[in-house]
Amino acid sequence: MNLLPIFGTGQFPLALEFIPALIIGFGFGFVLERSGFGRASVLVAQFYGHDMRVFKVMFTAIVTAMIGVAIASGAGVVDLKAIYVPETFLFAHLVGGFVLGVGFIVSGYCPGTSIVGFASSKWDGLVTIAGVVVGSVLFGELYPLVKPLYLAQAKGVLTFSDLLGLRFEVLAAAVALFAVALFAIAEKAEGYFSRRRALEAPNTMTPVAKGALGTLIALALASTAFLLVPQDSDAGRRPKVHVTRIDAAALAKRLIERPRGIMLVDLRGPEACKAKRIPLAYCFDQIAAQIENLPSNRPLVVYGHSGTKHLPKQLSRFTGKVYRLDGGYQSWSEHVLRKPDPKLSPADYRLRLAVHSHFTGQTMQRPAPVVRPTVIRRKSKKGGGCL
Amino acid sequence: MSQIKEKPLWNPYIAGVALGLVLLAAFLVLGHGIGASGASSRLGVFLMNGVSESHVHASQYFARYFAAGSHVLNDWLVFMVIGIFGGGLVSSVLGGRNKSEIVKGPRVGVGWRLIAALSGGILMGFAARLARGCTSGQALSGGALLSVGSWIFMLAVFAGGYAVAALVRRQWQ
Repeated sequence: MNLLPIFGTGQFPLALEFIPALIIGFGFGFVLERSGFGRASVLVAQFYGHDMRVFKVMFTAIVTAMIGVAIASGAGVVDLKAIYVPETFLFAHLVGGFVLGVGFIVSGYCPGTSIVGFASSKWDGLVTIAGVVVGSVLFGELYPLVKPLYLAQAKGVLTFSDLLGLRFEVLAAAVALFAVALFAIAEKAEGYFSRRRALEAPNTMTPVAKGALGTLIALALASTAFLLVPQDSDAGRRPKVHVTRIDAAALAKRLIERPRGIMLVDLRGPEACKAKRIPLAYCFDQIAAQIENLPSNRPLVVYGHSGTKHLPKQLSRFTGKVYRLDGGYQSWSEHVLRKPDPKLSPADYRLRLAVHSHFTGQTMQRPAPVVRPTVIRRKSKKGGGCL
Repeated sequence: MSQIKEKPLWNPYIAGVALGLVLLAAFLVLGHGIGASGASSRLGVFLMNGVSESHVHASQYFARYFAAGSHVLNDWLVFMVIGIFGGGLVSSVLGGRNKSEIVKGPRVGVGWRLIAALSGGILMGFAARLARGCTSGQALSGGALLSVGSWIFMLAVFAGGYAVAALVRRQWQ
C-alpha cells in the first residue's frame, strides 16, 4: 500500500495543505538565496557563459528529485501515478518558454527568484514581481486572442516514460549520467569564457561536489534494481467495492479544485461517451481491461445516463474508493452545463455561473441585477448622522 | 543588517542537491511540485477584482479562480510564495547579503534598469500563464517528473535567454 503522497489523494481537506506548502516554500526560498539567486547579476551570468550556476543548480535539483521519486516509487512508498504531472501543450510550452527566457534576461530574475530578490532587499526584484502581476493580468485580458495557441497541440499528460516505453527508474539513471556529462562541459565552458573576459573561473567541481554527484549516480544506478520488482505489488487482496454517492455540485467543485485528484469513468456506452462526457472522464470500454492498474489512492467516480443501479463487474478489481454520481450525466448537464437561473440568490447565482463558465468555456455575463424592494429611507429625526 | 559579514554562496552542486530534496518533499507530501508564478496571477486578479468585480467575473480566463467558490488568494500557491519570501529573507540576513540595492551593471542608470525589470516581468507573467507555469512549476517540477512539455519549456527558456543576451549585455556588464 502506498503511503505517499499525503495530499492530492482526496483523503485530507485541501486547507491542511497550506501549512506544508508554507514550510516547503520556506525551504525553497532559503536554498535559492543560498545559491545566489536573490541577485540578478548571478542569475544572468548563465547567459554570458562565465558562471553557469543556474544550470548547475537546476539540473542537480532535477536529478536529485527524480532519483528520489524513482527510489520512493520503486520501493512502493509513493504512488507515482498520484503525483501531479503538468499536461503537455507543445506550442504553448515552446512559445511560453522562449518568451519567459527573454523576460528572464531582460528583468534579471524569473518569477520565483524575483521573490527571493525582493526578500533580499533588491528593489529590481520587487519591480519584476510587479511586472509578473501585470503580465498575468494582461494574459487574462488577451485570453480570447491567445486561446488557440494556449490550447493547440494538447497532448495530455505525456512523459518520456510514455513516449519511449521505458520505466521511470531507467530514464532517471540515464538523465543523471547525461547531467554529469553536461556539468563537465559546463566547467570547461566557464573556464573558456572566464579567460576571455580575464575573470577568475568559478571552478565549482570541488571534492565535495564530486562526492555529491557520485552519490547521485550511484543511487540512480541502484534504483534500477527496482526493475526486478514487479510494478503491481499490492494487487493481492481485492476488497468488495463500497460505493458512496456524490452529487453534481460536489463533483464540479472537486474537479475545479483538483482536476486530477479523482478519476472519472463514463458508463453510458462508447457512443454516448465519445459524443459528450464530463471533462477528463474515461470511457468505460477504453479502460475496462486495466482497472486494476489505476492508482488506488485516488477516488474513482462513475456515472451513467441518470441513476446507475448496476455497476460493471470489472469495477470490483479497483481497490480504492468508488463514488457514484447521483442522477448521472443528466444531473451533470442540468446543474453544470445549463445556465443557472438568475432568480437564485446572488451568491448562489455567481457560484453556479462561475462553475458553468469553467466547464463550458462560455464567457460569463454580468451577475444578474439584484432586485431589492424599494425602501424609502427616512432621515432619522434624532440626528447624529453625517448628513 | 550590515553587521553580518557577507558569507560565500553554497557550491552550486550542493545547493542543487538541497533544492532537489525540497522539491522531492513537495512531491511526497503535497503530491505536486513547486509553484511561484501562480500566486502573482492570483494577486493580479485580486487587485482587479477590487477595481471592477463584474469585469473579472466576466473574463473567460480569470473566472476559473472563482469557480471553486473560495477567495482568490485562498490557495496553496499563495502560501508557498509567502514561504519563499520568508526563506529568502532569513537566508539573506544570515548570509549578510540583505543589502538595499538595485542590481545592475555600471553602464546603465537606475531608471533604465527598473524599466527593464518591469518589462521583463511583464513578459514573464504573460509567458508563465501561457505555459501554465514558470521555471519552478514547469522546468523544475515537471522536468523532474519527465514531462515532455516541461522539458520543451526548459530548453525554450534557455534558448530565449541566449537569443537576447547579447542585446541586453549593456545592462549587466
